[in-house]
Amino acid sequence: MDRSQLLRGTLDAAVLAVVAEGDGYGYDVLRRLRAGGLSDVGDASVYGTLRRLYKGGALTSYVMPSDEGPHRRYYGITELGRIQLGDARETWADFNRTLSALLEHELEVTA
Amino acid sequence: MNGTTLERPDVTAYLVAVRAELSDLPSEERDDLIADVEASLLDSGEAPALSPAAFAAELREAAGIERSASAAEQAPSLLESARAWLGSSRGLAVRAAVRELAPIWWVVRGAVVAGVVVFVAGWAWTLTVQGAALATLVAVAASVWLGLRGRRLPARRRPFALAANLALAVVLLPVAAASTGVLDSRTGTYTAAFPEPVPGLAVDGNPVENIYAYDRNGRVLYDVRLYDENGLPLDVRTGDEDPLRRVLVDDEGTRLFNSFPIRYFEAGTIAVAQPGLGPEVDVAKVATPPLETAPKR
Repeated sequence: MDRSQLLRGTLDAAVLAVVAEGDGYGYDVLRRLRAGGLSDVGDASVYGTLRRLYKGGALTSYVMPSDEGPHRRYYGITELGRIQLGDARETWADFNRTLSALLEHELEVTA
Repeated sequence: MNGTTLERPDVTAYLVAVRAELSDLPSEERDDLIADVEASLLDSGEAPALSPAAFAAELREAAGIERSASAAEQAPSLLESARAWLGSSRGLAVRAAVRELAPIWWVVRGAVVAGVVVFVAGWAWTLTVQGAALATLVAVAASVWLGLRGRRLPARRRPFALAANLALAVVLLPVAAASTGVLDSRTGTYTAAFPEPVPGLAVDGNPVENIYAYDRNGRVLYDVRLYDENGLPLDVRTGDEDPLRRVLVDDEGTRLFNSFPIRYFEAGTIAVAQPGLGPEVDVAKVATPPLETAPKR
């Protein structure tokens, strides 16, 4: 199964979950996603997703000056973002159950 | 950490290239996107493995930003889109159908050209029906011959044939419509739609608002009640909501709308000012003997 295709539909939830744990800027969120196991997530996908979630009201943002380089834009989760994350958790759990059952059924049939 | 973009010319060059890929975005939107990317690239310490174009495309897709129309060099042109559609399965099906239906167009084309030539040139005034039919037949045959010949045209010349046919269709339709008008005025054909039915009583499509009955001596009769052959009252309801209309009632209080002539009260009264008023007609006395006195056969 193509992991990148799966990721495409679930990246919003993953980004929301990471930011819900603590505010972060672009590269920081990317690093935490990769550390969490999504090693193949693309940088541009994460930055674009952050931007879209922010514009959609799921994230808030603020700029922190950095001594070492350009200012960093931090993202934090909003109430709307938490609701979206809750919905995503339920949808994923349900989908996961369904697909697991289907795949296991398939195994039994072929075994 | 990794310093600023000034110390990282590779990151600078990469950002410039990504910015160029996003040139169709509003500057504020683009600056925000690039600022995020710049900070992150400097932190990560390396330019991404993706090309700037691929990076920008991924960024765009994830951010849900459509490529605007100004990025025309990337978007397929109308001609390219049309070519792609013609090559698609749907396009091929439509082309096959058009090819099968083309002979109908050939016939119509010939007939319309014949009609237009005949009527526009004014020959219709002198041409007989047989002559017109012959002209149409010749034109249709020529048109079908041309159509069949067109099918053997080399592919590169087909678009010109198609364009010529489309142009002909666009030009011919209004001319044909105008020619039909010429035909109608010449033959006096009346092509109006069926007239709307008139509610209530009507004569020749005009509503009847009042009826005056005269006796044999030419005197107006009053409160005459009219019925048709089926016993249905010939109700005239013109002004039935008008409180000034003098509507008769029977014993049970039912209002009788088939009593004539309809009279109107003077405003604020229940009096009819001129009960004998009628249309300005000279009703002659009847000379034919009345039925009951008519001689029996």
